[in-house]
Amino acid sequence: MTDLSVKLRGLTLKNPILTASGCCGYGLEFKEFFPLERLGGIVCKGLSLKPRNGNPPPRICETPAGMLNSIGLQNVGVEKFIAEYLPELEREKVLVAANLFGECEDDYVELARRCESEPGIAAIEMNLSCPNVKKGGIQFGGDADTIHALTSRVRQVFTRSLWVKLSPNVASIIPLAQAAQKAGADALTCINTLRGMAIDVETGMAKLHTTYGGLSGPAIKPVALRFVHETAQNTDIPVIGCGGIARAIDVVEFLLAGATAVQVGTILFQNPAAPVELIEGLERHLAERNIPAARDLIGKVKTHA
Amino acid sequence: MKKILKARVLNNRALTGGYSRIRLHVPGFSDAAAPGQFVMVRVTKAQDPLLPRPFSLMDARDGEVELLVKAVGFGSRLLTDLADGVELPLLGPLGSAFPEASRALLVAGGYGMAPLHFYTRRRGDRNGIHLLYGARTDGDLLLKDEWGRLLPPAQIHYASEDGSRGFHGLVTGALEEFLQRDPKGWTLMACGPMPMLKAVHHLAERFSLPCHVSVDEPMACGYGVCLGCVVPTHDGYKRSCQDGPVFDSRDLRWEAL
Repeated sequence: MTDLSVKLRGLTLKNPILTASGCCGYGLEFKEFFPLERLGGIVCKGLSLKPRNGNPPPRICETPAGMLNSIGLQNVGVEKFIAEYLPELEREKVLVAANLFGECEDDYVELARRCESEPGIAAIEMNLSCPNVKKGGIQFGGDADTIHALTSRVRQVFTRSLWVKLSPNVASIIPLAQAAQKAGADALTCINTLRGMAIDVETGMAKLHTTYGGLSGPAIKPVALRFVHETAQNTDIPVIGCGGIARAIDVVEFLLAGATAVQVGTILFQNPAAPVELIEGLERHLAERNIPAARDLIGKVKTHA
Repeated sequence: MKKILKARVLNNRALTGGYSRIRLHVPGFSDAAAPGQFVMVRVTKAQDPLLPRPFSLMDARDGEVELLVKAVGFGSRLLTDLADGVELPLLGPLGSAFPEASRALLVAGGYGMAPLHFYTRRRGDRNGIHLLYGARTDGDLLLKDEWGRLLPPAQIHYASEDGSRGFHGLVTGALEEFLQRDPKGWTLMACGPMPMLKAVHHLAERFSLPCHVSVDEPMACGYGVCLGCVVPTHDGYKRSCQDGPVFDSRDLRWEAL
């Protein structure tokens, strides 16, 4: 029997496949496609203290092997999530991580405190990297001292698994990842979307209302993989890989690069049942090669000299 | 449990104006599919283009689905070029439908005709249905033979921007003329480009008629999670894939569209 379970320090996931924040709503839409308990976990759409409307359309456009989005962190707010969505997720027996973002340090602390009092939330993921909202976390995500200060404060109020989601839109991810680790993060999610742009040549208009958006999908996989490897090489806490995963062999690649778990996002838009196919594909990959456990792959990439 | 279905191309026929009519065999496709609902269709099994494309149902019965596709970009061209027998993943039916109405005034612009075709075909008693259908030229007015079999000539009102068929001008001009002659008791059902829908809504307001519009927004998932396809309503942004694509036109914030 192949063992797919992995550990993010104290938190055990039954398998390494999580759904990525912003791509799976609050998870419940997937109930119609597969039992949610199949998942390693759900990372729900970014939550703020108050509900947010998000950006005006057009919010998305397709790009080669990927897409740009600028949703603008539309969400129902943390209270409504806890009151209306969390109980149903708990009934579905799926591990829930709450992605959180704020406009100031106090917002993050307040959000984390609120989640601390909800045992159904197994983990929080601090979004320090939304590229589409000026006050959507990115203002905290580019500077190591800021990440350290903010993560330290959240660490004081949240006792369960604390993840920090990092931005690829930086000169170097290493000092940022190390700052989060030093402040007590349990895991690092690499990466959020890459900033990009698309233009309609007929009208000359930028395709997105906000001009720039976040690039995701298979097009960014090699970039994400490099960030995961770089982060894993330079920190001692688990890395959660994210960016362009579409097939089971992509999951294998991320594990080899040093990820302990992965998040799948954009592929869900193409195929809502993708997570189950990835879990089954990973299991097959391991069984065919007589690898007893998924964790045996983590960080085992070999490099030339 | 919902699942992604396998759609096999039975017949892919090029129409005039760069349009194709694609008939698909989709085992397991719901009999409950209603006019106004749509499907998400992958255009390739590879990862580029990545996203499925939304198409209104032009017909659905006995495990077969018909779509009207215009080759506008790389993805839709892959579809219009499909050979018979090819299999593609399909999700649906999805979204909201046009309501029943004893006197239905259908307003179609371009390939917005597709769901209204399904609406008409689905109805047993078609006496209460009139179609106003506009396009750029006579050649862009599709399936006229078939429309002629569905409705008597007195219930079909074509419009062309170049005057080559029917009313000379936009379909909304034809609609205004129609309502001036016969203003009472209609429920408007419209599908077409956003400026057309907006004009139809304003005419519905002017003549105090209920109006339902099907919007066509860029979509990534089609089942409610990406929040990419939202439209502004008086109750905040709503997803055109789940809360629409058919909306009561009074719910939309037209000034923001």
